[in-house]
Amino acid sequence: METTLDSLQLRETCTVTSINAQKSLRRKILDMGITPGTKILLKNIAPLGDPIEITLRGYNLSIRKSEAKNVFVKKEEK
Amino acid sequence: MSITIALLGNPNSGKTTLFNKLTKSKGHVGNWPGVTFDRKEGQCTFKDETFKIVDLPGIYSLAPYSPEEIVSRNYLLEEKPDIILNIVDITNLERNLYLTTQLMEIDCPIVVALNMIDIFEKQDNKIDIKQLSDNLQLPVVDISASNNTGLDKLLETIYENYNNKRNATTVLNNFALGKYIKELNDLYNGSDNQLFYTIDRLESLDAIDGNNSEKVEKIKKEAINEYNGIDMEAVIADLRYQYIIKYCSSLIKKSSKSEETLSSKIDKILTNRFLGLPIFLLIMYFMFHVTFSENFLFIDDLSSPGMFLKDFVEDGIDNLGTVVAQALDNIGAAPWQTALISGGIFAGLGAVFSYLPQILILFLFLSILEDSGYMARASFVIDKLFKSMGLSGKSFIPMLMGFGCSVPAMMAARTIENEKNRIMTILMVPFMSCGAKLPIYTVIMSAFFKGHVDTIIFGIYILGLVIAILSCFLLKNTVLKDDDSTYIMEMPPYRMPNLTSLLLNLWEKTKGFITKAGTILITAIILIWFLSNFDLHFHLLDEPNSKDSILGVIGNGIKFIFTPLGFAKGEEGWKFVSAALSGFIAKESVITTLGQLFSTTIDSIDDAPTSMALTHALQNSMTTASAVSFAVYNLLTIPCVAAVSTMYKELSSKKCFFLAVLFQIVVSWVVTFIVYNIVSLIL
Repeated sequence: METTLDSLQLRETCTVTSINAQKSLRRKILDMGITPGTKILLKNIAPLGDPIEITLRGYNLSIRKSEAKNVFVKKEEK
Repeated sequence: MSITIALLGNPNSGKTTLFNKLTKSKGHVGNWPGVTFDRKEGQCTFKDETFKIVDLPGIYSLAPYSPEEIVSRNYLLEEKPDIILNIVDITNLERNLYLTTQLMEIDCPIVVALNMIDIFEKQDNKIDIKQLSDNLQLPVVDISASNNTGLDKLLETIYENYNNKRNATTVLNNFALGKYIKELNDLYNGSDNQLFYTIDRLESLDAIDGNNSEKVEKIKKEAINEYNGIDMEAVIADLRYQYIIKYCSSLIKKSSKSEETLSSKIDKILTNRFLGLPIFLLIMYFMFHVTFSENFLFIDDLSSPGMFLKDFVEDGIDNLGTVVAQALDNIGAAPWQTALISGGIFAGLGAVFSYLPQILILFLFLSILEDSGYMARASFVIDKLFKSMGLSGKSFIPMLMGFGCSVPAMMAARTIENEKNRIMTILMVPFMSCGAKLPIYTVIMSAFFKGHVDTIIFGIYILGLVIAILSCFLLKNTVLKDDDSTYIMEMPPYRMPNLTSLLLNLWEKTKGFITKAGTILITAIILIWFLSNFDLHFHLLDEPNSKDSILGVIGNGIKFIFTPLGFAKGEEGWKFVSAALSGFIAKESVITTLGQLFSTTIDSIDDAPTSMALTHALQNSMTTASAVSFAVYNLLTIPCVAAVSTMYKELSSKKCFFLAVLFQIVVSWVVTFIVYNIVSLIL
């Protein structure tokens, strides 16, 4: 099921399909390793509900939901 | 001729530790003149060569977006170091090597230092380093900077390689894209670092290239078609990672044990949905409690470590002061000489020095929070709150550093990509009360709030925060309307802070403090002494510190500005005005100036130690309300000249800078006025 990175549930995993951001945000997302095909796990959500913490490429990254919205992903079937 | 080594790597890869270990922090570490960014530079010798190591800011990529990326990129491309030392965290190899694949595209020898090999091996992981080196076509040395292992081999490898001319290569040649890069590269005549620029052009959507533009567009179009219409930026980033997975991280043999890491366990508590915020507040409170409390662990009259050390130093200085005064008396020094040396320089510096332990303890806490990785969590926990104020969770680190010193704090704001967020953070840093302002509160408040000093000081710090928050809302809805701020931040694993690094950091602070005391403060003291002992006709006054002195005339002349704030009222009001103004030189000056200006009063109280004498003088010349007002004014007014000039450098436009200074002057006056009137009503 195609959705965006911000709508993942805790401990859910997904695969990146495309990135819909522009300029520096797009480059930053790519540089940090969120490229098409990357597997991502939603590890944690901040106490106030935003940002979220994801695990990818063997490390952890925090990202705001408003930015994660730009990352299209395919949820993995359980 | 020395060999210039550019030290480069991701944030959290242990770069600073390696730098400190290699240079033993000897020689010259300091700001680079004339450059808007301070690069740390140190030296070490190996065999017959002197290595000059340039510590560049930690970056994830050479993309020209964030200020750090631009600084590092320009340094590598324009100043051309002899060799690049690329530090790579082996426990996070995949993402760390991404930068390496970009560095390879520059015509410069590279040595890769695989750091944290000790942690990696402890987890029963293995890697074929020889194979990794062959695949990357770069020399690779495994090291542990914090344990001092592999450093000699690293220096040896640098020594062997700095002279080998290395032509740029790119990992993209392993893919179909390589063909297009070659075609594009052939269009340009061999300029310096040509491959790097070629790939740069391929990535950017709107590169304009004079004569060749048609050919360039054609090649780009073909390349994009080859990759199903995906833009080149995404394709290139993806291919770099594909290469790393195929040729590098596949060389790691992970241990079969896949238990939850300790970091994740700690995170479950520290960033917990319910506990995260309370723990954050508790840690902040504990920091202040250890530093300032007179009732440590809520036991009456038990000094906290900070207080204990402060009292200890204070006693020592008092005793020394008595000896010095006596000695001066014995050699028959003139009264004005005694006043300058004993009452001015000695009492003044003494008052400031006794706060050194507390400032150091505060810095120690900040370094521990930073080195352990908690800062990243704290910013994660409160980002949403900060975002609503037009800041970012990343603003938290500079703001917390602001409690130490505004100068490095404002520089740390560079990690914030969004310009409006960055400006806002720089404007808020001075409202975080810096370590140098601490003596002002302690001296004044202990004269009026015996037994509750830590609570009152905590309150002053909170007031600074509250004003910062209100200012944020004001600015966010007027001049600094936020458009699209970003927050993408690594959460590094928790690490045990390195004791050597911590001590080194404290030593640097102490050294800085002593240098400042020995230069700026002494100059300020002598200047104040001159202004308060001579009249307008440059005659030595019979009665120093009187209202006829130059300073007295100036102070009385402008005190009408401060009269509504309370502390300028009365016979002695001009002394507080002068002291507050002297804070522009350095915030420590406020107390040394007060000490000097009241020294005549102090002399009349026999036998009392100097620290007590100023307290008495203050009690006689201030009301509780005007004391609070004086402290609040100093909290909020423009910072010292060093911080103001940093602000000037960090804020890109002059207009922005002048508005910022004006903003602080207005805010400090208005808030102090309100606070003074409220406190007067209550008490």
